[in-house]
Amino acid sequence: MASFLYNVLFKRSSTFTVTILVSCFIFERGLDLVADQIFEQVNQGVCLNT
Amino acid sequence: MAASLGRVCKFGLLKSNYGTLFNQLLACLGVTAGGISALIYALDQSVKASDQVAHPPNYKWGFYGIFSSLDHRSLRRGWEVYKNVCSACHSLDFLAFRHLVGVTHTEEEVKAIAAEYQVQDGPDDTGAYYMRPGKLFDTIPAPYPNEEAARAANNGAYPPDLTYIINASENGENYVFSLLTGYCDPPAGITLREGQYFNPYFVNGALGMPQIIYNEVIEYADGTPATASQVAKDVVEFLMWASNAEFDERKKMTIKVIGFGLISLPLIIYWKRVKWTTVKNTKLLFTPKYKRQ
Repeated sequence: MASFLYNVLFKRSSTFTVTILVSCFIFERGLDLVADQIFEQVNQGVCLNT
Repeated sequence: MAASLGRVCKFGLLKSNYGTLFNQLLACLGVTAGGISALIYALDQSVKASDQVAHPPNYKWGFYGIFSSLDHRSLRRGWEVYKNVCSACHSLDFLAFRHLVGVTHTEEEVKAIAAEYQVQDGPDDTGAYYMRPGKLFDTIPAPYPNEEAARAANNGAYPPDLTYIINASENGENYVFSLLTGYCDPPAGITLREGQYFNPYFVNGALGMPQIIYNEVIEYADGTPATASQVAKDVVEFLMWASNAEFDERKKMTIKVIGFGLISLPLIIYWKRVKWTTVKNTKLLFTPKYKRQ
C-alpha cells in the first residue's frame, strides 16, 4: 500500500504536485462541510437554514 | 538561526551571568513597564467607579457562546423595530438594502421593502433629479438630509447614525439595551431642560431622546408578543449584526480553526520528533589515543 502510494503519487514531482492540489481541495471542502454542519447543529433554530 | 546567534554572542549565552549590568537594566525595565501597566489598569478601574452614570448589567445574550450565531428571527423583528420606530430620527447610512438579503429577509422580500422607499436619482436627460422607488443597491434612506436638519428637528440634539452604534460604545449591546429600557423619573436635585429626558445609563443623565420603546409599541408580523424588553432585545440584536456583519462567519471560522488545529497538532508533533531525533540521539565520545608503554 505504502509503496503503491509512493510509486504512483509521491515519486515524481509532477504527480506529487497534483496530489497536493487535489487533496487540498478535498480536505478544505470536507472541513468546511463538517464545520458548517457543527455550526448549524449548535445553533439549531437560531441561525439561517434551520 | 541558532548557529548565527551563537556566532554573534560567542559563549555569552552559555555562561551564567546573573547580575550583570545589562540584566539588571532589563529587570528594572520589566518591573517599570509592569508597574506602569498595573497603575494604568488600577486608575481605569477607579475612574469607572467615580462616573456619574449607572453601569449596564451584562445580560445573557444568545450570541455570547463561542460557537453561537445571532438569532436571525430576532434580526428580522429587529429590522421591523428599526423601520417602524428608530428610523423616525436615526439613520443607518452604512447599510444597503442588499445587505439584508439572506440575513433578515429573502431577496424578493427585500426588493418589496426597498420599493416602499422613494430615493433621489439622476440627473436624467434634462439634467434634473427625480425620485424613484428604492432598489437593492440603494443605501437605506436617512430621515434627515444632513446633520443640521437633524439638529433643528430635535432641539439641537443629533440622533447618531446607528450602523456602528454597538461597537461605538463600551459593552455596546448591554449599554444600548439598558438605555432603551432604563428611562425613569429624575431624582431630586436634577433639573432637565426642555426636550431632555432622564436616563441613568446616559452620561450626566440628560438625554435628548424620549423613551420610545413601550409595551406593544409595534406589532410583530410573526406574532411575537411585543413587550418593551422584547422590542429592545430585537433591535439591539439587529444593531449588533449591523455593527458586525461578519459575526456568524467569525463563529464558523472558530470551528474551522479549532478543527484544523486538532488535525495539524499531531502532525506538527510528529514532524518535530522526526527533525530532532538525530540531535536527541547523538552521542559524543572522546576516545584518547593511549601510548603503548
